[in-house]
Amino acid sequence: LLQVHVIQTFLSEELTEEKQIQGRTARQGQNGSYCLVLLCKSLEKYLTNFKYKDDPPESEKDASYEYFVGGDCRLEKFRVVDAFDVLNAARQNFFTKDFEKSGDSKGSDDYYHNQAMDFRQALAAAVQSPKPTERADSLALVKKFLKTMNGSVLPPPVVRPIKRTLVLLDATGSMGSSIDACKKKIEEVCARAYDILEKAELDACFEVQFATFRNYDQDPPHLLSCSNWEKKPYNLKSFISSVRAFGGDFARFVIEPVFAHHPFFVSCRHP
Amino acid sequence: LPIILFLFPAGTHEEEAVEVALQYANSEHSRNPISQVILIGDAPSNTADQVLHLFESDASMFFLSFTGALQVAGGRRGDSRGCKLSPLTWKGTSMADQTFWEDECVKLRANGIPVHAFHVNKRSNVVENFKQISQKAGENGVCQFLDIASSQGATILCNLLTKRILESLGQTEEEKKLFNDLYLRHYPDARIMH
Repeated sequence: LLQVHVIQTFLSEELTEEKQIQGRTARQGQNGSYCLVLLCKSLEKYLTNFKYKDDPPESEKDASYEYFVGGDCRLEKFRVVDAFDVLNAARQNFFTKDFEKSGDSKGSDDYYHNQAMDFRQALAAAVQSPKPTERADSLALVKKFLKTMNGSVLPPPVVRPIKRTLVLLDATGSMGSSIDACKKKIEEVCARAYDILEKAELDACFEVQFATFRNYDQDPPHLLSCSNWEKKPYNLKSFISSVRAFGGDFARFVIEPVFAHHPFFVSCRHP
Repeated sequence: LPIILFLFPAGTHEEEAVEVALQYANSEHSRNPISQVILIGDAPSNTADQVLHLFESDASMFFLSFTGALQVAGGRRGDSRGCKLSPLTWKGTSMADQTFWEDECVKLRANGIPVHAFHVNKRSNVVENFKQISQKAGENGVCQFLDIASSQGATILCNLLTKRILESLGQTEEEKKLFNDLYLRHYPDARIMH
């Protein structure tokens, strides 16, 4: 009968996971086998005193393996039971420390949970509290929370109104080089403007929109099309990239019917 | 028949629908207030006469229908050079109402939106039209030749746009000056404006 042999090639962070992986074999009364094949280097994480060296000098050889084998034996005398005990203990030690560290410290789930609960309480107090001082304090807490939480994601709060610049770009056939220049430079324009604002130490914000126009001989979307208002230049660039310079030969449309009355034209039609 | 159509030279009607673009600026302003408009082009706006003619006159409607007939005859319906001016085409779009660039400039002035107009050639009718647009729209609009065809064309454009954006961000004259000084100091190519 076929048997499943499981080879686990990493040290599970928890013993329960390891048991789960072992359980992938020997299912439903069948036989099976399991082994751990580990890369020495990957164990550095767990064994704090253990520094694996690919080729340690002879003098260091014993010392560098000492912790790993957990006693007086060299690698070749390595006993499987000992090794597992050592690794398991190291693993538990490592994660207990890790867990303790994360407990209520900044950045942990608990920390954010507590912050959120405080925020909720402050929000309610800011509205409902009968004492004006308490309301003011709560409001300050709410603002502080929002500022901290949004700080890393959103741009800093802007006191000044957003300044919007609309660029109207003729996109007819002869404007190809202007369109190319806009495409090439728009990212630099925005980067430079933000850079100068930073150097001037000012919190200001601007948006740019591009709109291209042609003439009445075009379909509405080609007569006038526009990007969105953008703070980041990337989307502007992709909008401009999509603009193709064409049109601008409206003249023919006007001229053709006029010339249609010309005797030459008529004679061509009715030879 | 289509072969004959190609014989006629293009070129006398060089205007573009700048007025539609300006109209869009005004309509956008009612949704999201605009600080400034930068216009880059190489052709003047359609004149009021042209717009009227295209939208209303019987004669042009005759021409339009005639062109349509020609296209059908030549199997060229939908060609990009065909007429798209039937009222049905424009219904429901922001371009449904005819407009003139001078009217839009008056509205831009009322909204306090300056237009900085940059013409990429020096043809007299373009220069004249762009100059008038920048003067008649909101205050302090500039009109300038943008030598996009030169080897420094892209750099000039970059400087023009950056300076315009920075100037719109400055709330006082001192701030505007500060931005300008910083820009000149930190970017070696900042002086290339012409």
